[in-house]
Order: sequence, then structure tokens, then C-alpha cells
Amino acid sequence: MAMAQEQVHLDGDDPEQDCGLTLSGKVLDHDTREPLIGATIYIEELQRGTLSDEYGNYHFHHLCRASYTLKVTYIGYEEEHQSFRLSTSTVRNLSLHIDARQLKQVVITGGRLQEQAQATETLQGRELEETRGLSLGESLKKLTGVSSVQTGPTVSKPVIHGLFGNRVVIMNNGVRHESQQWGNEHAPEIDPLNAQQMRVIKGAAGVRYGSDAIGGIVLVEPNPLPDSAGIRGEVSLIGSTNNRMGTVAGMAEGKLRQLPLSWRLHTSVKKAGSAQAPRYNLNNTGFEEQNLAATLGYKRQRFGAELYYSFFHTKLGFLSSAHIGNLTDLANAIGREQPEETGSFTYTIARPYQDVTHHLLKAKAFYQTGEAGELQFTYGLQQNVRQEYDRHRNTGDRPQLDLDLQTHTTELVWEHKPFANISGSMGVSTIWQNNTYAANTRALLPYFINTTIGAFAEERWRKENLQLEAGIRYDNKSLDIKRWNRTEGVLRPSYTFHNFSGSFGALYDLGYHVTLGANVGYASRAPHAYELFANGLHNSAASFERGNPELVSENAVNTMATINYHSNLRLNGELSLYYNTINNYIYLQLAPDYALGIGGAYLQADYLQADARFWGADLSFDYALTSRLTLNNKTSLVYAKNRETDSYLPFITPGRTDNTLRYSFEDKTSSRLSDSYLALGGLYVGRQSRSDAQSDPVLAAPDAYFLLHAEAGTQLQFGKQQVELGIVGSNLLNTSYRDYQNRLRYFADEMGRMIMFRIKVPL
Amino acid sequence: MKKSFRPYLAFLLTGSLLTFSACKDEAEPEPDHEHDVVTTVTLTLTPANGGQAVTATWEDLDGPGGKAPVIEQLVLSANTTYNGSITFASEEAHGDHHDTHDLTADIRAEGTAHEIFYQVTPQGLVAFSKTDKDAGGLPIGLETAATTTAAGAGKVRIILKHQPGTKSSTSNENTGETDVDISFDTKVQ
Repeated sequence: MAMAQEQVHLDGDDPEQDCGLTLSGKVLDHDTREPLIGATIYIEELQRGTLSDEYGNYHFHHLCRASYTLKVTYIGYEEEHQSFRLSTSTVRNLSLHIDARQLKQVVITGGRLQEQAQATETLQGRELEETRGLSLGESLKKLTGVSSVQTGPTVSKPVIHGLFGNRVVIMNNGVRHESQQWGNEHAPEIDPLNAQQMRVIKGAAGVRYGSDAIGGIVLVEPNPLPDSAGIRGEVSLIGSTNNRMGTVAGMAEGKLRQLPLSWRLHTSVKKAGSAQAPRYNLNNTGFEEQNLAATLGYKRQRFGAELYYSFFHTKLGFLSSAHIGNLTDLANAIGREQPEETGSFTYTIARPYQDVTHHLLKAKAFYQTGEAGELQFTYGLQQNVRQEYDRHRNTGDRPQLDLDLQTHTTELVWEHKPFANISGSMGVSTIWQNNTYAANTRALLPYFINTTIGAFAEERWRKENLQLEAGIRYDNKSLDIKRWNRTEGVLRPSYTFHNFSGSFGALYDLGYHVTLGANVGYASRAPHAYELFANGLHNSAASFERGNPELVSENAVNTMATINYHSNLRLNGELSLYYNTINNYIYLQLAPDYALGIGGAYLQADYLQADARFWGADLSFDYALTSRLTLNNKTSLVYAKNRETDSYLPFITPGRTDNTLRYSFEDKTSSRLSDSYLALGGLYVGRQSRSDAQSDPVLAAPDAYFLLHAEAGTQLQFGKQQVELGIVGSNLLNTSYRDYQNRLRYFADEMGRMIMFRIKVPL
Repeated sequence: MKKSFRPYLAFLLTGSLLTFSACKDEAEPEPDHEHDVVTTVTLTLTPANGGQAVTATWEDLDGPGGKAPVIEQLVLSANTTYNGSITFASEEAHGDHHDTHDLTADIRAEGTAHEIFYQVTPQGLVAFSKTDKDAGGLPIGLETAATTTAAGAGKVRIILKHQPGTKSSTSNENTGETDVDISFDTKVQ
């Protein structure tokens, strides 16, 4: 560091003279205020340079009164230019910002840099680990702006900005997940333990993955296949109190030495007994799940292919007292303090239950052309078999609902080489789908064949601080229905829908710590066969649901603005505001008259359309109180209204805020422990005050609730063997509460205190 | 450029082939019929002293909604004691297809999980008492004794409750899940 004094010293110069001025100071990291050693400081006008010393100090002597421009460079930091006029000897500290390119790498692990104008949230790393053992829908609740629609403690579906079901597209390992998503009690058939990251794109985002995505997109992504030779594995054990859930998951992966061939096997088995509300057992709410996933990949420089197969099977018990006959039963159930049948803890799953199997076979290939960019082709074959066993008289082993949905998807995408600051991709995709039901079961959903062909293009222009992006998509969907009618035999109504999607977004990097994003998205969703032709009884709601064959596509214009304050020492966060106008919004409305059947009176619910409006805000921030103690806040608000009647819409997410204090312990080299942390937080969910007798005629919205939760984790070193340990406690105060978005809120309280333990051993 | 596109076209075609080979539109939907959903209830009352049996049937073949059920009137004689029995069936009739599944035997076999309740308005028009017992000694209600006194008109409401695990000496028509809840217009003359 002796080079710091490399300038020539001219003896005898009077410091008071015009050319005897000194410029000195420190070169610092803007955020940490740490001195930067060996930074280059260069005066452009004089073509003189120096390096900062071991304390970060620099100095120039014998400067004349003049205007100078300093150029400061340091590896890993952005180049800094400063122009100023020097009139006296001056101390000038120079602070440098971490290079954005390096930041981008931070993003991949920390999720900070915004890559697109639309608001996204990523669940990964520690936060993802803390959800291990929970279902996909429950895991995603960790993200701001995401909640879930539940049916008892076992079924959970993700809700983004108040929208769910067919309005949320789930991409499972690059393939559009196709199952009976129309049902509120149909949870996504995906094993979250196989995911290394889960990303949620909030708001209308139909361009890339197909129309329908009015609410948003959930991307479930497994780890990429290993790219270095050798074999490794991992075993996880998860257990919990309350429902006494036990999960075993195992993974093995490797890459051949001689060939560019990699593989992975992942499996998990889960079993849980009936969940416990604070005051009683939730009878028949046990579940079991078996998963298997196998991947084989071949990768060369210009060409690669991947074959993936996954199997998912679950058997889910359904709260027995929620299976009711008619309106009188419903009134009786609502009037009871606790469910009629509470029973005691058991792993046995009796009727009513669901048994669902999902197979996914994916073949993917890419080809890199020198000048044209990259081509990707993906083919997916899915089979979803959903069997629901009602609790009627003993009917042997037969289910009452037995649906079989087969889906073939193809996608060809061309990602072109960037030119003139423009990068982007375009492609075509197809969906072919066939739904049938078994003989002598409920024709809740008719036979249908859905053929969708779509084409899209999206481009991104980036220059300096500004990024502009635009995309467009067209989908042609034809729906051929075959339904049985008692008097007329088989009817074959058929539909064709034209759905456009579009988006325009801008991202502006306002200096070093603030990014502004704005996005306008348009998405259009064709009605689902269920919304058109539903015809059947929903036992848990004592309602008879009827489709409406006259429905047209719903379409949404979603405007969103996001401000991201990042890379700061103490406070980092993101605020996004959205305003979503949905025309022809399809919803289920309870009718004023009853349907009479042999079982008595049922509520009638009809699918209707109205113009609706959704708006709200998501806020998330971290505040570092000290270098070890951080406060994290996640708050989201959703409002919705029927614009035609100016009335409330049912089933909208109430406002919620989750605040967590996290303490990270210092890693000591002498200790066996590393990455240890302790966190304590509270979730507050408000009452859905925007509801009334019109939106919820059966039972008013439940009260607000507060739940205390805590998390702790560490990495343990046993010689060469590392072990990851974690513990998560939820509803620590064992609060009795009911959630507005749980369809079984008429019947029972939510789960009480649950403590979940996990141990992960890499092999 | 043109040449380099050939491999992708091959890909696309492979996918399409798989897609369209599966497109055969041959499956026909079955008539929707759940064999365990009650469509037909028949109440038969036979005078204890002999004589012509009285029956009344309540039938709704297409389930809730749709076509209105067909309900017969129950016409009884005054000052008479009847032996009552009730049957539950799941019937299917469309075109020339007709199929009946009797559920009464299932209900009797699962007697510990079922009970039938008879509610008469005005009270005293007909008095029903259950004469059969389940394995636990509790009444089922498939077999009854029905007694009339004075002439009059009113309704007989019949409720079949599914009470798995909840049927007890104190359970009543508010316990469990309702399978059937119907009423017959009744005349005693």
C-alpha cells in the first residue's frame, strides 16, 4: 500500500499558494461505511491517479485552484464520477455503491433485484424451509399478497390479490398444472417438498403462460439438475404436534462422468391424523400423501433435453360434521357450539374423503442456434383422477364423484438473441384436454374436450436506468361438451372463445436504492365447463350449484405500481398498489329461492356475471434494528366490489399484517453451530367488514384474530457431516378462531397450537 | 436460418402427433345416476284387522331442482290401527331404461346409524310408534304402528336421518345428516 504516496513531492511549496492545495479523504462502501482498500482515484484533468491505503485514505498534494473531475473505481463497485471546484485544501470522502451486476447475483439468492415491472414474490431459502411439511397453499401464505381458500385444515388453495381457482395459473416445473381447479375444495396436486423455489407473479399475467391468469401465476420450480459429476443425496424428516404429522423425504441426484447426463430422484411420504382445534378434535381430518419425481437430463452446449415424471397421490379426510343434508342441518350445524361429531384423535380416514392421483410426464428440449437465439420445446402429459367418497349408506368401495381429466400441453418458445437493447421471446402453445366421469357417479361436471391454441410474443427494451416491456397473446379455445339430459339424451353444446392478453410495463431505476415499476396487464379468461354446466349438490354448503350456459369470457385490466427500496443498511422494502377492473367477473351467487328435493330444502347457487373491481396494496419491509436483530413486516389489503350493484363480493381476503422479529446468532468458528436464528412474530387478520347479508347470507363474517408464531433454526456440524435443524410453532397461544376464507367456518374452529420439527441431512 | 429451423419443426410435429392421436371423440357420457341417492319413498299402511293396504309414494327422479316431485296423498280411515312399513329406493328411468335399487335393506343393516322420524300436524291426526329395533335396541322406524282416531286433514312429515356414531337414546331429528325429508298431505276420513 506504499503506492498511495506515489505522487512526486515538491519540497518548499507554500501551502497558501494557488498550486499548493491538498485533496484527501476516505474511500468507503456506501452501505457498510467500511473503508475500501486499494481503490483507484484518478483526476481526469491532470491524468494523475492514486490508490487508497489500508485505511481507505487517499490524498493528492500540490493541486491548483481549478475544477476537477474524480473517477473512482474499485472491483465489484460502480464507477463513480465527481466534478467539483477546488478552492482550498479539502477533505472529501468518496462512497461507492456495490455494482448492480453483483447485486443481480445477490438477487438470485436474496430476491431483491426487480427483473420485471410486475410485482413478484419469491419463497425460497430459509423462508421456504420453514414451510416444509405444509401444503403448497399453506406455504405460499408466507408471501405478501397471497392468502388461501381453505376447506378445513387439510385443503388449501392459493389466493392472489383476492382471486383464486381458475384465475391463478400454477406452473409446475414448467408445465401448466391442469386439474379440477374450479373446486374450492380441490387443492393443487403438487409436492412442495420437491420445490427449491416458489415464485408468485401478482396481477393479470396472461401473456407468457396462457390466458386465465387474471389473478396471477404461481411458479413451482425444483432445483436445477447437478452440473458437476458425482452423486449426492439428502434425507429430511418432518414431524409435528397437533395432527401428529410425520413426513419422510429423500432425494438423490448425480451426474455421469463420461456423459453429460444428470438425474434426480425425489420422494416424499406424509401421514397425518385428525387435526385438533383448541377445544375439540376435528373429526376425520387426517390425510396421507405419497410423491415421487424422477428427472433425467442431457445437456450439451447447444442442445439439451430433459425428461421428468412425477406422481402425486393423496387421501384427504373431510370434517365429518361438515357433510350435511339440507338447510335444516346447516342451521343446526351453525347453531352448535362445536361440531356434532368430535371423536378423538385417529389416523384413520373414513368417509367423507377425497382420493386424488396426479401424473405428470414432461419432455423438454432446447436448441441453441448461433445467431437466432434459443428454441425450447416442452410437452406435458397429465392425468388427474379425482374421487370423492361421500358419507351415504355403505355403497361398497365406490366413490360418488369420479372425474378423470387428461391433458396434453405443448409449447414452443423462441428466445431471440438480444439486439439493440431488445430481448424477448415468442412462441406457440397448445392444450388438449378431455374430461370424463365414471359410470353411476355424480355428473357434477359434464364430459368435455377443451382444445386451446395460443401464440404470444413479449419483448423487453433496456437502456441505462429504464426498462420497458410489452407482450401480447392470443388464445383460441374451443370447448365441446357432452352432457346427459334425462329427456333429450346426450346434448352436445360447443363453444369457441377468443381470448387476448396483453401487458405493458416500465421499470425505472431511480438511483442506487430505489426502483419504480408500473405495469398494465390485460387478461381474459374463458368460462370453465363447471361454470357453464355445473349441476349438483355441494354437501358442505347444503347448496345446489347450477352453471350458466350463457356465460362469456371475463376480462381484467390490472394496473399496478411498485416502489422498491433496496440494498440499504437498515431499511429495505417494497410497496405495491394495484387496481384491477374485471368485466364479466364470474361468481357464485346464492339465489333467494330454495331447491326442493327428497332430502328437503337446499340453497340454490347460480353462476352469474357482473363487472367487478378489485384494489389494494401490499407492503413488505425489513428493518435492521441492529446487525443481528431484524423486524420484518408483511401487510396486505384487498378490497372488492360489484360495480354494477355497488355491493360487496363474497369470499374476499380480509386485510392482514404479519410482523416478525428475528435474531441471527453470530457464527463462531469454535462452535458446531452456524446460521442459527430465533424469530417470534404475530399475524393479525382483520374481520372482513366489507361483507353483509347479501354477500354472506348464511353466516356473517367471523371476528378478527391474532396468532403468535415462532421459528428457530440452525446448522449443526458433526465432523464432516452437516445437519440442518428447524422448529416452527404456529398458533402458539392456542387461540380458537375461524377464518373467513375457510369454507368450513360454519362448522368448526381452526387448528390449535402446532409445533413442527424438521431435520435435514445432506449425504 | 431456414435450415436451422428444421429440428424445431420436428419437435413441434412430435408434440402435435401425441396431441391429436388422443383426440378420438368416442366416449359417450353415461346417464348420471347415483345408486345410493334416494329418489322414491313409499309408505304402506295395512289395517291391523285386515283390509285394503293404503300406499303413498313420493318420487323425484331427477334430484333436487329440475322437475317437481310426484307426491301422492295419504288417505286413511278414522279409528283404525295400521301396520306401517316404509321403503326407500333409488330409481332410474329414462327412455326405455328402468332400474331400481332398493335401499331399505341397507338402512336396516345399518340400523345403528339410521333413524326415521314421523312428525304429524296437527298432532293426533295419526300416531306413529316405531316397532322395530336396531342391534343396539334403539328404534329404527322402518316398521311402525299407526293409529288414527278422529277424521281430519293435515301432513305427515317423514325424516330419514343418517347418524353414524351419533345415534343414541337421546338423539333426535336434529342429530346427524338428513337423507330424506318429505311430507305427505294426509286425510283421515
